[in-house]
Amino acid sequence: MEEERHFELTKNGKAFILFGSLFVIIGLAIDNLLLIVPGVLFWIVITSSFISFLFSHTYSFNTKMSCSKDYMRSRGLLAVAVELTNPSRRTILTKIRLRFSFHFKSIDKSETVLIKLYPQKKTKIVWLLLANRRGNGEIGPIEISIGSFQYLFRHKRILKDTQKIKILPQRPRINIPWKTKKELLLKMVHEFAQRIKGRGDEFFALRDYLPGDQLKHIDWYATARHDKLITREFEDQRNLHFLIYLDLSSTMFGPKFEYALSSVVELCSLIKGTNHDLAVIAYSKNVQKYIIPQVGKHELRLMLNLYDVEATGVHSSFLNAVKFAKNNNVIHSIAIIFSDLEGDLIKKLQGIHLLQTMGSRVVFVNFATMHFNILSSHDWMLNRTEDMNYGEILQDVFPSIVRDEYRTREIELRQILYSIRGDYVDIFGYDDNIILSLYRLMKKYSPTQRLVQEAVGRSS
Amino acid sequence: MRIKDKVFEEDWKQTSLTSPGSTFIASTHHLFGALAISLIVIQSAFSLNIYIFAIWLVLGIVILMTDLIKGTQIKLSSEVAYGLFFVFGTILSLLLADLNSMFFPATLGRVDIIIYQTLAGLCIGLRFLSTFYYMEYFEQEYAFVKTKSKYTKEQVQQYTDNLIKTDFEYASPEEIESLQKWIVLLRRMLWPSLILIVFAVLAALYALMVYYLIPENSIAEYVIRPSLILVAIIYSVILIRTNAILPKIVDADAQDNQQKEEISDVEVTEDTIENISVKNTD
Repeated sequence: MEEERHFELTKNGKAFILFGSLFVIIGLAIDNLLLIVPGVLFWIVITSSFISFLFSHTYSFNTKMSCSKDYMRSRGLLAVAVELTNPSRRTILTKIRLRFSFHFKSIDKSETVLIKLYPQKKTKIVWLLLANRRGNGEIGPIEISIGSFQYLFRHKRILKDTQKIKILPQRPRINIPWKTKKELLLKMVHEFAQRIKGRGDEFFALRDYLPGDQLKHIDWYATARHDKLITREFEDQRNLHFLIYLDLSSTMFGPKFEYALSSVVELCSLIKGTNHDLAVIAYSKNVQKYIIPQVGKHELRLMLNLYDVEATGVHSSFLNAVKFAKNNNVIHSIAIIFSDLEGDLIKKLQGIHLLQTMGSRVVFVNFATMHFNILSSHDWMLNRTEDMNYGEILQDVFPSIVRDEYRTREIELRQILYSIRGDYVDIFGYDDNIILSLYRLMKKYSPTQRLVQEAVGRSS
Repeated sequence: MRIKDKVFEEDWKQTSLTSPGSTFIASTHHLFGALAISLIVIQSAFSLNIYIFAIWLVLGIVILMTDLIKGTQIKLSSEVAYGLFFVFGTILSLLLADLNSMFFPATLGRVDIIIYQTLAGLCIGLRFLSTFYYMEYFEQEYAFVKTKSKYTKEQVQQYTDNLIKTDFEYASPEEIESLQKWIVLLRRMLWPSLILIVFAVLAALYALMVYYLIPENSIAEYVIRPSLILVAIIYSVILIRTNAILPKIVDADAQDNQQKEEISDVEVTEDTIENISVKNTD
């Protein structure tokens, strides 16, 4: 393992040399033992660290570090094993410190361990770490401090072995039955896909028999009714091409973005299980990432593709993302936009009409700011939420002007979406789920619901 | 932050270890500081000089207050300030000394002064030693998640159970006891203190020799003290130079070792060549 030797007198050490000398000299000059005694003590301490350095600078250690996983989910546990061997013939007292990035916390053991290393013997130390943040974690390097008075004279071996660990977002909480997901997709296909006749399973229409048609497709009941050969036509197997736009703008920053990302992953995992196509465009000012999740239907693998995405600190421009899709001929029949209503709404929606001209349906998913940032302060968490209704908290925290502003923005957006036959979905906080929301949306399109709506419209 | 997150944060909260040992050391640190300053205040009271007494009283109160406010937060920089207070007080009391002073045996006997000063110096020394001990073993990063709730304990237990008989089986070697830590700290200081004692004995011998050569008291005063001061200055220069030279010595050692290895490689090859040639001639 690559080793870096580190020895230097710290600022404190220099100060103590100066003080020792100053105390002794002044003390001698004015015949004052009050200053001489501590001054001599400083000298002894500094000299001792020099002497111990002379004895111990030849020490070397064989070290091996290993982690139990390469990638893990946030809030998971990780074990890090460090094996140390002392090849010399003396027992060495050392302070060993495992450094790790801010993504981790050590459990039941401090980062620094003070142990004796016996000669020609292996010592194994295992740290349990808790990952409390998503991102690229790093474990290492290991610092071995030799000798006392490290804060005066630093004498360390830094073993430059680091391991990178990917920490993925947490597992989504709501488990939706597969039946619901299938139904949702079927409905989406029914509503959003263009009907083309071809070789599928679903019935499309009846027509006169032409020579060359397959005999098995002749509808004998219809033939009997019309007294001529009539054959069935079928729809082509219909694939939907999903295109997901993920907004990385500064307004999405924070826990809201984490939730948006996990929603994207959830939707991706649903779609990848079927024969539909999928692409993800993560955009801020320009397109940051264009991902076509290709590996399996496993959510974790999808996440491995997506986990690098972070919200950026600039305003996003949706137009650039749409232009990117157009220039690269990204085929899509449904465009799902994960964004919010914050900031410059015009810039966020500019180009949404282009999607319609490209022949796709638009679904705008709004991660409602009010419901995500509401419980951010500790006071609300600890003191006041227990005996309060959620609606009341909303009213308390957000002044009516803000709420009115959100409402007008929502109405504006709905109008734009109405003009391009788009749909609007709200995600209300963490307990809402993207798939359930889409399911709710698709229910709006169900024939019975449509009849009801029409009846209501007629009566009004 | 969600309520669930809040619960999670509470469960896995990072706590810093406060062992009874650390509070004990901190309290002894404060105790020795207070003892030293009270000894000096008493001595200054005996000196019968109101200015000197007032100065040391004020300094004592300031030092006590800062100690009380800081509590267990012991830092080396604040110790440096503590030392500076003493130098400051000494210089001021020297300036304000008239017939009555705490450093001249006019009011106090010479032996009394030596006893007071040595005791106070020892107290300061002990205070600094306890600071070193605290910095060495308690100040270091002792912050970690302590599993308290049933849920966290179960989680950790399950995880460690699953790791049994793997490379990551939970293992923590025995850490060193507090008494052993003291022994280690003091043993580290054994050799240097011996060296210093040798220095001191040599200086004393030199002083005595000079005293016998020039028996007049005033001349001895002019020779002995400057010679001791000279030794002190030389020693401090040695310390400062060692700091600059030490890393270079180590680097040179490492280079020497490398060169030796290279040379030995060459020798081996020559031998083998000779052997081969000898074999050929046979």
